[in-house]
Amino acid sequence: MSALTLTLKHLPAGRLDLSPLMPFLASGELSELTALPLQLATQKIALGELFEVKGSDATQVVLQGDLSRVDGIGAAMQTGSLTLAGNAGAYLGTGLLGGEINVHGHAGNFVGVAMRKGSIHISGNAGDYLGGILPGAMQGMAGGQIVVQGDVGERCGDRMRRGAILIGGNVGDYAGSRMLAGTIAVFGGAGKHAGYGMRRGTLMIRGEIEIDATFADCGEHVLPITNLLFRSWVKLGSPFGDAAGQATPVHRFMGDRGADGKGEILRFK
Amino acid sequence: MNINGVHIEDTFAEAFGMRGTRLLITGENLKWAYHGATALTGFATSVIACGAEAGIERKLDPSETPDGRPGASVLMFATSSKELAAQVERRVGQTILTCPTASCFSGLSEGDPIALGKNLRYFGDGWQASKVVDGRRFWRVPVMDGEFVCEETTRMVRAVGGGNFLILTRNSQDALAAAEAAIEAMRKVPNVIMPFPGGVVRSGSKVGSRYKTLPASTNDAFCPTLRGVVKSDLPDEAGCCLEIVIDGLTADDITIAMRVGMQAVCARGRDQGVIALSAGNYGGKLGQFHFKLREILAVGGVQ
Repeated sequence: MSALTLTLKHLPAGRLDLSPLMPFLASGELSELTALPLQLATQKIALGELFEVKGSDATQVVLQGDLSRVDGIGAAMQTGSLTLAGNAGAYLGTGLLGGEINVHGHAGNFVGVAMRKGSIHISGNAGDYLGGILPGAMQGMAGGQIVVQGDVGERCGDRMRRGAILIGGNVGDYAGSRMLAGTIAVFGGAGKHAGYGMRRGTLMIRGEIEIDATFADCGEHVLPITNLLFRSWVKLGSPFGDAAGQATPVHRFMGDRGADGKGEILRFK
Repeated sequence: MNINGVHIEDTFAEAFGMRGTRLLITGENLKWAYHGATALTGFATSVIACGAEAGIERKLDPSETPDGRPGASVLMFATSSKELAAQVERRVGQTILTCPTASCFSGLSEGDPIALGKNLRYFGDGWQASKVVDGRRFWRVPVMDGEFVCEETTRMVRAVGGGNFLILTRNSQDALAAAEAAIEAMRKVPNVIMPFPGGVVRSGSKVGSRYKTLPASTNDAFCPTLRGVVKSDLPDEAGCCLEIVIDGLTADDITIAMRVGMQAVCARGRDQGVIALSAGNYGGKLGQFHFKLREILAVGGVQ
């Protein structure tokens, strides 16, 4: 069986919500896929009118074309793989429950919000609120892993509860804001107010960062746990596995002392 | 059966079902990993009064440990799952938590989970934190040299304890040399430990005693100084007897270790004072595992 391939015929005029796709593939008849109703801006439109469908293996889905106006790609996916040849819109992998999403391009805002399991890999950049929270929810990302080779916008990991976010480039302001637990590792620098309102969890930053006054300097240490983390990232290649096998000293700041204060920012080299 | 002049008694070792686990101890260097592992497995020769039987299985290269530091692999056995869980927690808490730079990880991926750092974490008094790495949860407990890292749980499997054989020699020197040769060979076998001092025990026991409160007592049939007054099992030339006890994750592991050990003893032969090999059993009524010496040695090594 060849991979199920959906090719976008043309850039839609408005935002297209593709979030029904993965739940449909998990339970529906593939023959009815082209009739799946999607929301395009204010109107309903059948999937077949926008996408050319080929292949039949629904556990390996490939999306082609410029999907930068297509939102909710891979939402609630449970298993298998989803590959995007180009850019993705907003809400990529929302509420992801398993499987892996690979984007060979950039992704918009709200990548992996409320995801629970699985992995998302983005070769380019991603927007704001990556690994963050859905409106009204108490927790953001609650498991799994997001890897971004490039830069990420603001409020990354907002109210994150569990899992790991790895960023090869820089991250915007308020990284790890209101974080409850989990790990965010940034191999570039961070914007302002990193860890704002953070209760627990770990924010690792290799590049430039301005530490807020609400974080307490706990000094430089070699922590055995960083060995475990770096070693588990070796399979992701550079820069994520670069520090593995070295006794890398980290500078530890605990905070946010304005919140629970059990979180930490670890500056590493 | 006779190998290299060594008589192999037609008998069997009687062993029992136990619960076992493997722990990986790492440290800043091998020296400190071994300080931890040695203390962890200290006073763990026999479940009769130690609670657990434990020993260092082997050295671990940095490439084999979860955190990429040098370490030691430890096997620990107890008579029940409850007792094993209690012993793991008590021993790790007193010896690895306390050992500078040491960390403790589970060395088994299958079996029932039992607490490792799950409760020890409370030593952190609220400053403890956990990290999940590749699906395994590790606790970080702040201590005076930095952080004690300990996996949340280890795995417990059904194991076998009490495999053994007796080395009968002319004298004490010959017995020590033969036992040391056996232990050196057996230490290379995975999944087993020899829990007694240097891997060797001199106080083999029989069931019962003349005292009401003592359920086990000296194995007088193998005591050379009593040969004239008891029904002795010692051949005329034998003036000393030492026992090697083996605990293993499976019966097959014990079989391999016994074979390797007995072959090493037989290789020394009668010329170096080895008279016979025997084994400790209770008439086959108590233990569910029987290791027949002649059958084990029939696979390779009969002369």
